[in-house]
This record gives sequence, structure tokens and C-alpha cells, in this order.
Amino acid sequence: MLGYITLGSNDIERSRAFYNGLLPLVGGKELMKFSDSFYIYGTGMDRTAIAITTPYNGEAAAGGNGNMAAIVVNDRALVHDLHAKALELGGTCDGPPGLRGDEGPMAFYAAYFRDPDGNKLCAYKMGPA
Amino acid sequence: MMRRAIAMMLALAATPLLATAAPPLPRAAEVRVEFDSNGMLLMAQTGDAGVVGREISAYDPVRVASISKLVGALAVMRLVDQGKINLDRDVSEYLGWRVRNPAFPDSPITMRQLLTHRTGIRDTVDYILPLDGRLESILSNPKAWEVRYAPGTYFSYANLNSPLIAATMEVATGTRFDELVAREILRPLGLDACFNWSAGCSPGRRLQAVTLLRTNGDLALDAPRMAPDPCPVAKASDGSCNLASYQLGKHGSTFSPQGGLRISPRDLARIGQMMLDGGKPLLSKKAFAEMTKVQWRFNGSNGDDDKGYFTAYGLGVHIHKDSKGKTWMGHVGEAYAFRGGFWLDMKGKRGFMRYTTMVPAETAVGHCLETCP
Repeated sequence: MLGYITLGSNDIERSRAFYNGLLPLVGGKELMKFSDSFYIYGTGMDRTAIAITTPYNGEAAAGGNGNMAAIVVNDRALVHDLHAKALELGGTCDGPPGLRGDEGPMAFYAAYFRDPDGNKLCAYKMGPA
Repeated sequence: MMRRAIAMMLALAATPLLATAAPPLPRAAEVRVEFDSNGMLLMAQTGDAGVVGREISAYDPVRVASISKLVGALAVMRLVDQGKINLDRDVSEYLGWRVRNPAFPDSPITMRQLLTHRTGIRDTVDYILPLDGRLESILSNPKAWEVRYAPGTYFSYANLNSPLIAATMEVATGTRFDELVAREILRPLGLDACFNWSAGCSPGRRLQAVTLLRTNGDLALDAPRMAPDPCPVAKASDGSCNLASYQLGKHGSTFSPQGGLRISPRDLARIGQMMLDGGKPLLSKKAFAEMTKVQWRFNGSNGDDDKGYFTAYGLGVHIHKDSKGKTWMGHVGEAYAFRGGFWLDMKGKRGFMRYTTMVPAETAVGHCLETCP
């Protein structure tokens, strides 16, 4: 259903460094440049992607309160690796890696972090350890 | 006309039968992880873990074949640091039985020679011993030895050096090889990895194993399991598998020191990061420098370079210059249709591990740098 989501940037090169450093850990990369201020990231053009751009109205970009992009991963250890990488790349922690709720077949193991512009991201693995 | 019609009918009738007879094969796995000393840079993974529908992960433990030798060498260097092994001492003194090249009975065999494939030991005898086999009897066979060159003078890569390394480590420490590597390397780095599904792997780790298949889908090793492996090592000649009666230093091959390490690429990256950091925190600067310096360099006549494949060697590490002149340090692994490479660019402070499964046996062996046949 979802094609891509767009995240605002106040410094496109800083954002590019962040996502170019983070997303290769989940097999993603910079897929396309539409202009000097609009880039698409993902694992393939047929998959849901993340776009980064300066806001259309020219105002400052800001992280929202309540919105978030969640990246699904195939291993709980990768939740840790992505979180650590985000912080190494200048992101901030918004919830360390760990189980949210109960262990079991529907267990939700996640970490939360923000990119350098404050956009909230999540890395999560569903299911038992 | 009639014959053709009958043939067509037969063909049509046969098609669905053929289609149902061949179950789908899992896709070959291809994994590549890249790292620097800070963390992971890339994790690319495609294909299946040896089972249809089970996608491969860089966190799945896989039998990394001869890359295991490098990890064993790191454990040896820990023992060198602890004063438990002297690289230049006759290993017979540790073992309590005599190891000699029959053509050079006065020349001792040392750990340094073992780690640099300069003992004169050859893979002309089977290096996988049954559980009741004895390394001493294998090495008393003159066929196991190169008789033209004295120990220490000639490089020739041989798997059979590894059991002798493992046996020596066991006697020097009073500890079984699998437990020793777990204690010295794997656990201190927080890894869930082990030789032959023994010490070092958590109880559930076996379930995550990458099943290794031949190209036709036949099982090569590490079949999917829901319970512990009843015998994770080579059985005794009578089919029994009693590890309780294992004797330190007599066998050496039980835990497959030449290739039996099960480790995920992600965990191997942690070992790589430790090496990029000069061996810290596990090895002294001196021991790490000794391990990674060129101990042997091919000069045209001092070894079997395998048609240019081997040009320089450290202690358990292959040192390789690529076509662009960059020097890499690491090891390749090739067994059970797995091909892998674990390489470090010590100057550039980066490393990678990559592997491919279901590789045809006849594919030419490469260093596994750019691609992994």
C-alpha cells in the first residue's frame, strides 16, 4: 500500500551522510536523486522507500510528535546494530533496544532513535527471539 | 503422424509428473558484511539459509570452513601471551608423544611451523579422524609427510596441521579445544559461536544454523534440527559418540579446528574489529604484531604457492596483495559447497566477510575478495 514516506531535512548533506551510513545495514542505499534537495532511499524501487527533502514551503524542517517511520528487520541483534549505528552517525536515542510487551509469538523487539533533524525512526523485529 | 500424436500425448502426460517430482531448491545464500573498528558499514544478504522459505541472515551461524583456522590462531596467540605456549618449542614436549618428519628425525616441529604451514605435514592422509582415532598414529604414517624439505623451510598449505595445533593447545592448558577457544576468544567478545556445536554456542543456536547444501540440493552439513545434535563430531569407528572419554592432546581433530567453527558473519565482524584495533583487548601488541607480520614470503622455491595463490603468510593468516596493490590479511574457507572470505585492510582500517553457498565443486577457487566462487 505505502510507496514511500518523506522526512524533512535542514541540511541535505548531513541527512545523506546519516541515511547512507544507516541503511546499508538493512541492505538499503540511495536509490535516486530528483534534485539537489530530494533523495530516495530503499532496498529497491519496488519496495517502500524513504525520501529526504527540504520542506516544500521553505520553512525549517522539524521532527513531528506522534509520527514515526519503522524499519522491519530480521533479527533482534540487528535492532541493536541499527540503533548503535544511528547514534554513531549523529542521531539521538529515543528508546534503547529491548522488548516492548510480552515475549512470545507476537513479541515486539524494538529500538527508537531520531535522525539529526529529529525525525523519529524505529527498528523492530516481530516474533520470538 | 500417429506416432507423433502418441509422442505428444506421452509428453503431455509426463509433464505434470515431472513438475511434481522435483521439489523446489532453496536459493543459494549470498552474504556480505563490511565493518570498520566503530561498527557495521554494510550487511547485504540474499537467498535462503539452506531451507526453502527461510531467508538468510548475517546473524545466522554458518560453518566457515578454513576461516576457522584464523580464529584458532588467535587463541594460540592468547596462550603465547599467557606464557603457556612457546612458538618455537618442540610440540612433542607439550604432547608427551614424539612428532617427527621421518626424513628429518632430529628437527623439532614447532607451533610457528604449524601456523605457517611449514611443518612438512601433508593432506595426503585423511585429516578427519574418527573419535577413537589417534593423531599420533596418523602422523607416524610416512605418507603424512613431505620428505624433501626439512621442517621450517618449505610452505605447503595442509589441513592436517590444525589437529596438531589443537592437540598441543589442549595439553598446554588442560582444556578441550572447543572450550579453550570459547574461553579465550569467543566469550570475551560476546559471540554466540562455537566449534562443532560445542562450547561457546547458546543452547538454541543450533536452530539458527545455515544448512549447507550441494548444488543439487543434497544435504552437505548442518541439517535443520529442532533438538540438540546427538553427535556434533565425527563418530568413533564403531559408530559410537562418547565425548565423555575424550582424552586431551590425543586426537586434535574432534572439534574440526581446520574448519568447524560455526559463526555468523556479524560475529566474525567483531573478531575483525578486534584485529583492526591491533588485537585489543584480547592480545598484547607484541603478540598481535608477531601474528600479523610476514613469517613466510614466496621466493620462487621456498614453498608450494599453488599457482600464485599463496604469496605471504603470517601466523594462521593469509597475507594477500590484490590486483590494485592493496594488502589484505585474512583467510578463505571452502568446504561443503560453502565459499567464503574474511579479509581485513589493516591500513584502511576496514574489513569484510562474505560467503556464498551451493557453489559447484568444480568452480575455480578464488580469494573471495570481489566475488565468492
